[in-house]
Amino acid sequence: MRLARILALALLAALFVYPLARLLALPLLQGSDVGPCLPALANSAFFALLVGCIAAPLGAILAQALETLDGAVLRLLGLGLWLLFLTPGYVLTTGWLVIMSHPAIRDGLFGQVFLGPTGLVFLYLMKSLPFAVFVARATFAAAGAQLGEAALVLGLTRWRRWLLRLRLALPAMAAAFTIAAIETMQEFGIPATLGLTAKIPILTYAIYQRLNTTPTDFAGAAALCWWLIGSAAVLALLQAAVQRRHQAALVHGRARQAMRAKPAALARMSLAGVASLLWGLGLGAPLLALIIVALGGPMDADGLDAVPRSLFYGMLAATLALGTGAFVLKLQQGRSLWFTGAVQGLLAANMAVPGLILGAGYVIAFNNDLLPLYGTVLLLIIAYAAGALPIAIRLLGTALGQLDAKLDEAARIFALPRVTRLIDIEAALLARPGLQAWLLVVAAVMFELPISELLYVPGAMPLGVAIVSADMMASYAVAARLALLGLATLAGLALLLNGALRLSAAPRPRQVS
Amino acid sequence: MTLSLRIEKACRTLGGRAVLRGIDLALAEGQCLVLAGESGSGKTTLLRLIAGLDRADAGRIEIKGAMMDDAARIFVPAERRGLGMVFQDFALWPHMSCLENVALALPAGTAKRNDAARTLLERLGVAALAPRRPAQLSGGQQQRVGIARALAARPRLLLLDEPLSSLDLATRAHLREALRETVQELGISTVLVSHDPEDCWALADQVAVLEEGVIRQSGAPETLWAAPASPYIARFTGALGGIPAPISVQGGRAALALDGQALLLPGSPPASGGAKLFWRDDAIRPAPDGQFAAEALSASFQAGRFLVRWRVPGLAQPLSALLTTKPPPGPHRIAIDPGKMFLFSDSGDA
Amino acid sequence: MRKAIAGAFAAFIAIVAVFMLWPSPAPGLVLYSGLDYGPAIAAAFTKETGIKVTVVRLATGSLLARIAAQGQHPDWALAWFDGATAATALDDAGLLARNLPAPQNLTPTGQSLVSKDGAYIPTGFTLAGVFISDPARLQTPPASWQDLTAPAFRNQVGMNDPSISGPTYPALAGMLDQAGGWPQGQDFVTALKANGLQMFDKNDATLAALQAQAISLAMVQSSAAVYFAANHPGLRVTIPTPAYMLPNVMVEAAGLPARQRAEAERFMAFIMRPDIQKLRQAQGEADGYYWPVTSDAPVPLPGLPDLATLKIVTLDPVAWGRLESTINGWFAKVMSGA
Repeated sequence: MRLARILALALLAALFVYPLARLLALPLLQGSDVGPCLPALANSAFFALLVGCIAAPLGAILAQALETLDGAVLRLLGLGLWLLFLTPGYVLTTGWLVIMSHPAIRDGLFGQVFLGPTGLVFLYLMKSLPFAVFVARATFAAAGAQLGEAALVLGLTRWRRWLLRLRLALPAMAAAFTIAAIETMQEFGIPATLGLTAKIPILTYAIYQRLNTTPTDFAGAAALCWWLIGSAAVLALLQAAVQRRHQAALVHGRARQAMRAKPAALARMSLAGVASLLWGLGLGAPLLALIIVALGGPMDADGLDAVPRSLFYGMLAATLALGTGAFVLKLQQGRSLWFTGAVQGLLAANMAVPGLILGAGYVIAFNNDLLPLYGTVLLLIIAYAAGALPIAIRLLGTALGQLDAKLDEAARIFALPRVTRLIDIEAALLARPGLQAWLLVVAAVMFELPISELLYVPGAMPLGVAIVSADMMASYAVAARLALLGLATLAGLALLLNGALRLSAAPRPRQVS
Repeated sequence: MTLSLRIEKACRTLGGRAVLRGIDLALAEGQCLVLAGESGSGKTTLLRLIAGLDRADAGRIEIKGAMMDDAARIFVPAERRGLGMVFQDFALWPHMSCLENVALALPAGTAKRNDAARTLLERLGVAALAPRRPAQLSGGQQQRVGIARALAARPRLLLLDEPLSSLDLATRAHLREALRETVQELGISTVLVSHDPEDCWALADQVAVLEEGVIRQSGAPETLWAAPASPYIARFTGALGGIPAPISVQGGRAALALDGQALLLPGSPPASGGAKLFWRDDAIRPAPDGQFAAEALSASFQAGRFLVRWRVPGLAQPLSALLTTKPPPGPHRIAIDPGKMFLFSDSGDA
Repeated sequence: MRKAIAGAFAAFIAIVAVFMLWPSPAPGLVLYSGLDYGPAIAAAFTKETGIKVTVVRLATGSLLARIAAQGQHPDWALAWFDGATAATALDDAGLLARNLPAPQNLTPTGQSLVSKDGAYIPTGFTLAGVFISDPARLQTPPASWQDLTAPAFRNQVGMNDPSISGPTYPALAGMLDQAGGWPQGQDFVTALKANGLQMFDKNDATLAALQAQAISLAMVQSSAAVYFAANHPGLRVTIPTPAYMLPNVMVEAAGLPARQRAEAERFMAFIMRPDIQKLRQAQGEADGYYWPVTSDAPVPLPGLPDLATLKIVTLDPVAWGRLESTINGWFAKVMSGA
């Protein structure tokens, strides 16, 4: 058994650690003339921290509302968040560009404010908020009624009760903060499309510069990536510290489900406000712009095969990422903190670097006679999974941490067969957060751009490349149509699977005793 | 005859603290062992060692003659020990019905699983709840399902980790009774961790009390009743008191100075210094020809009897007794049965 | 039931995996195209010769990154993009086949564009930076580069980011060249920045800014400018003096097997045929607006000004190619005001 575990670890390291490690080793081996670009680093760090600080509590509040409250506003909010997380950043930003091409809007106050740091922060936030909410939801999903009721009985004021709940959510908030901050730090598409990279230099821009010069300066880009990784490491350490201090198991074998209540008037108004903002500015405006563009132009079915292709790529990559994530988490249980830290650190590096660097690492690592995986769909899937692995582990880890360990101990003591334990107990208990994590990765991979560009097999164009390619050939209608079709497919898949889960987990009707 | 459970010199250190130090236990077939002790005494750790959820640092653990854990090369993990366990917070799988919870625990190869599961639920009186989810049940009902589940596994040894402590008194009593009947009827060897004395009286064939990682006293419940080995055990078995007592040694025996007289107590005198005095609730009764003078301070009604507090000259704190009638306040004469008094040195030894 | 679902899911994923990971048939000749007409030309070639061509259509910068990352194990046979400077850089890295057969019937301009060691062939050219403006807002467009520093154009001018948009570097190089070369031309660019030059990442962003009236003059590649003006009547394209040439070139990967080399050469000849060049113009969207380098080529599309009226300069791709990363880095610092 131990041998199998070691082999599995070796395979993991070869597939998910070695490629990036090799690329990152370039500046250390070759030397590089690139300095730290302090203003860029400072800007990147500032935006990351700012977005993280907004996303963490906002995400926690929204998550709690979604888990414990009921009503039309809540359903709208939940749906809005889902759609937001299925929609890729560059699609939203392109929609905004279309809006901004109207002089009236651009010259107005809104346009002026939007085309600056404020708009940038807003778009960063829109992109990372769904992550934050989903990570936080796992904390509240099975919180017993007792914790809230204890607060009520003890006569705490409403404000204090909120604060108490917030404190209980600290570990989830820390995870949300880290995800939002790291995502923001390595995000390039949004600021580039907004055209702000000149006015507000950021670290990823410096990296892209290195990659876009000829000859491509991989060593220089990798050197700058070390700064990204360093920042991500600091953030991850912070999160680990918070997690350790504040982790509290909330899913018990005996918890009663909290009754969902209708939100109070003030809460309802503020939630409605947030929902409107999300739907209106976050989703509605850019999507509407895209729909208008999509309807113009000739209607042909060219290149639509990119949608199912990327959908299947996404499913494979998501399954690989989540499977690997679950394996790594199991491995971590009962191991020392060093092991956990090392694994998390290695995988966080995959998340901290921009997709282009990760992709380049895979090309360089596997494009030789020894490991001729380059040019295969397999390598593309592996690279996708590598990029998604840190998020998958984080989401699964938070969900796992909330489970009562006794549930699994009972399964062990009653000698349930391994398969039963895995499927009927562990997987079943993690089904909801697991499905959300899976869908999230499918969405991210479906519209993924930089890794796709570098690694796709000629003749099998993924969706992101097809959209950008159509844009470049000024077939804006085709591009918009592809984007919308992809979104619709994703939404359909999400609805289907969530519905199936709800049906299979529905409690059977009460019998009269 | 093979013992159901045998533990020799088991030790366990957690977080730098020696939680268990040299535990020796033996449990015969079909018997029920109650592990008692305060929180932090190590009882749950010991249970986890028996269950195979944790490894011992030293010592040996055998179940039905087979070596489970010798703190060296041999370690049989939990899934292969053939045990059943009932948890304090039930640990029923929340996403399955009660029937499924029980059915899943049945050994592989059992025919007609659902029927077998239903039979077990019937035995515990909760067959009607079979299709419901645990979250829809009360605590007592959930624990009945938990017991049914543990029995489903046809365990060689049944482990219970404070199974009744989350329940209210009335439910506790009912469930205790149900447990006793079931276990005795099926003849299953049982280890039950509890800090409730009622569990000892109702269920135990043998009691082992853990204090600070060692077994302070073990034996049949009546043995512990008759001669508790420590203040905790005395209190556990229902003794009153725990007051400092002025002790002198007379002729190799301890003598309590009361009302200007000396009351000789059985057993050897405490080693040094001060002593703590405990007594049974019927050790002191008013008698016209009683040896000592005492003043009845107060009498409070306690479910059918009266708790009377007596001030006796010579003792800083009052003695107490449970009487069927309420004595009028004021001076009385009392008789004290020295056989029902227990003396412990301040360090806790008898 | 749960196990059934798990089993069904596993089976589904397994089927999808087999389907998607099944080795695809040999791609034939792989063409990396940074130009819009690439796919159409490849299709025409396959139709005529039966030789299979697979096209990878990406922005020039992404193509070059892909090529560089693959290094000595290319999966491509031919690459077709704007910019001789990029081609010489690839050649310096030893990634290109040399002594490619030059196209037939080259004009004198075409001859001047042929590479010294035959690492690339010119297939046409555009101009690196031309001005497109709105006459309603800008009555007198600038005639020369130096005019851009005049107060009339304060905060009015926008250009692409050479670090992101591949074909922009030659425009920047041209600006420096006409101001005295490198590093003497730095003062001119600094003066442009002082006069409020704005930068956008790519053509579409710059042109969108023009349309939204955030700027009144955009400096973009000639093909993009003329195409945009054709679709937005009212806008006017002006060619500065001097104008800098931006050839579109084709390169071949080093170390191709003999059969692929033969097929590649057939393709190289194919794309320069007059009827195929007509196809390039028709199917090329913006890229179709190029000037040919062969004497038997069709007339350039309407909208493209007559070359005889322009003063055109060719940059030395080798010298300027080597300076690209230095100049781009310096430019980024200037534009961010550091």
